[in-house]
Amino acid sequence: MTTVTLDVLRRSLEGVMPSVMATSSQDGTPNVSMISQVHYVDRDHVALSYQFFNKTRQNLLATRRASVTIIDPVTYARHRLALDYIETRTEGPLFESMKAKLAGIASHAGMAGVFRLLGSDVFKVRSIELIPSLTVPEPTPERDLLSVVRRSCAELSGIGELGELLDLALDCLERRFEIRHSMALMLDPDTQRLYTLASRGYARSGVGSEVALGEGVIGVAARERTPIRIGHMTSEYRYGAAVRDTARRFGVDEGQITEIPFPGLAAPSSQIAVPIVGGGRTLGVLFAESEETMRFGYDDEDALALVAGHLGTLIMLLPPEESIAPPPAPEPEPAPADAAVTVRHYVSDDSVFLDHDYLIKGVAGAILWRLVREYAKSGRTDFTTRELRLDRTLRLPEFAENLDARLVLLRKRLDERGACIRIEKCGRGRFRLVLGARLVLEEISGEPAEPHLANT
Amino acid sequence: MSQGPASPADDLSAYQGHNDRIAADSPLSVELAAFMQSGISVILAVVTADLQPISGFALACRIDDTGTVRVLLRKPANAALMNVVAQGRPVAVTVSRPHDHRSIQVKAAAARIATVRPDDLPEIARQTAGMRDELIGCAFDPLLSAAYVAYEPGEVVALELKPDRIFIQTPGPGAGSELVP
Repeated sequence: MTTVTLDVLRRSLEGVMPSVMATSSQDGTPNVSMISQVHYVDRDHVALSYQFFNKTRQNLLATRRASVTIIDPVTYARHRLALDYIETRTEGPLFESMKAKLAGIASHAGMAGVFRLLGSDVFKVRSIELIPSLTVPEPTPERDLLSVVRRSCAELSGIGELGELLDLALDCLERRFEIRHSMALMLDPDTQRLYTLASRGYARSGVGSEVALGEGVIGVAARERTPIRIGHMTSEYRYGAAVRDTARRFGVDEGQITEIPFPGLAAPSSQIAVPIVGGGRTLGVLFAESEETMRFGYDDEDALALVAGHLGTLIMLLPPEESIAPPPAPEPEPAPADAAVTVRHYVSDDSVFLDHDYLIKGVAGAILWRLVREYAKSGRTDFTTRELRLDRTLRLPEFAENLDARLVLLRKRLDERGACIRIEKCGRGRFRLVLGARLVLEEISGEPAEPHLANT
Repeated sequence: MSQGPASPADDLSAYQGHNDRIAADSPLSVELAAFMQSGISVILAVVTADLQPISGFALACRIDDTGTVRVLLRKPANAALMNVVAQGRPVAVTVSRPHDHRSIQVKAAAARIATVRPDDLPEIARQTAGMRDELIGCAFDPLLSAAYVAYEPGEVVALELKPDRIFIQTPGPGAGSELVP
């Protein structure tokens, strides 16, 4: 027996190579099978996937012991674990994390639909035995993740604005972690949907695109408040399908959905989603993906969880807007006469269209409608976040970061569209509406009825 | 390897369709014996007197015309397991084909520890190469696949056993069923 702990064997628990599992019946008859998943829980516990009610299962319930042999896919070292069965979990973070990983393994093994997680069997590790084997030396790591995390966190600490913070976080992932495709999404606590607020490495930003709680690795990570990752992509966790299915179920033509397309890779192999938690709440999700299989391991998960944890704290500490009275209305600027744009607002879902192009909906749509109406009434172009926060008609969710996130979303959507309306920051808690055309406002009480699938 | 996964129903029909026994007193069919020696994964387990299971990898298995199965494995990797075998405890052996997950488990009341014979070595080389190629065919890294079946000829030992029961272990409905002659 050695003093090795599970912490240094996590690579053997990634499910790259199948493991061997043995159990015993009450009369001492052995049973042995290959198993696809031995999951690291903590330094003293592993969890095995319960997929079928078979002899292994009967034996576990009868004698509560197992022996598992695992292989390190890099050094080829083998270890034999003596395990004591504790309990089976059928829901919660551990279960969901294993379910996602198993779906990937099943897809890789051509067993999608056959492998299905019924439960996570949790075991205490009684002993770990190093099996004499032919091994190769540990290779030099590609990067020192601890150092990368430290430098990323230090860089992020100086930022006092939500949009900049998330953009810089994704920039750090690219520069320091060599993660080229990433997104940051915020959770709308009212609609229980996540919306993309920053992205990096995609042909289109997808800012404003939405993911339902529980959908794909992002939705599950947010719902369970636990990191979720997949080393081999599977249709079970793909995005987009659920939205279209829902639309069809409700008899909506796909073309009529006010949906900004999710920007993800067309054929990802690995994905990881880590919840951003602050003040005991899920604020959002940090997401990364790659075309490389098994790109994200346990160490990457730890590193991204630290960055996401830091982000959560920084978001909670974002400086509040200054308590200043609304600025006096400036002299109305002459509206540009050579161009006009129709801003159409649908009351039912606060969706806003510029001429016939869908821009945004929900709280961000309501904010824009309030700003342009105020401008039409008084000619005022300077606003404060405080006045928006105090405006009950906007139905803002309770916490401060929700308004900040909506303003970032609105600003980015307007910028991406190259629209004749822009929003510029002009001091802490203050921003300005910048207009390049005369506005014609239309308020419509019915549902949007035109083809509105956004192009950007 | 493009074919889909095997199913327990396939195992059942293969067993019933090829009912010729390898030996009169063996539950092994000729078809199953060929499958077990086809160069695929071989794993095994024993249980101590106080009901602690011990799992292990083997390299290959050979089956003679009396129905005796010779499981060939690395002695240094399986010292504790061999000790339990030496006490006359039961043994379970599972063979699996990675590309379609076809799996069969045989169980024997006891096994005998034997030395490796000269004619075992080319057979171990053939079967481990087959398993390595199976893994590569399933998109595993070639070096990892080779390491998975690596051994030194001088460290190999044999376990000889007469299976008395056979079980389907291919995943799916019917997995775990016993194959009865």
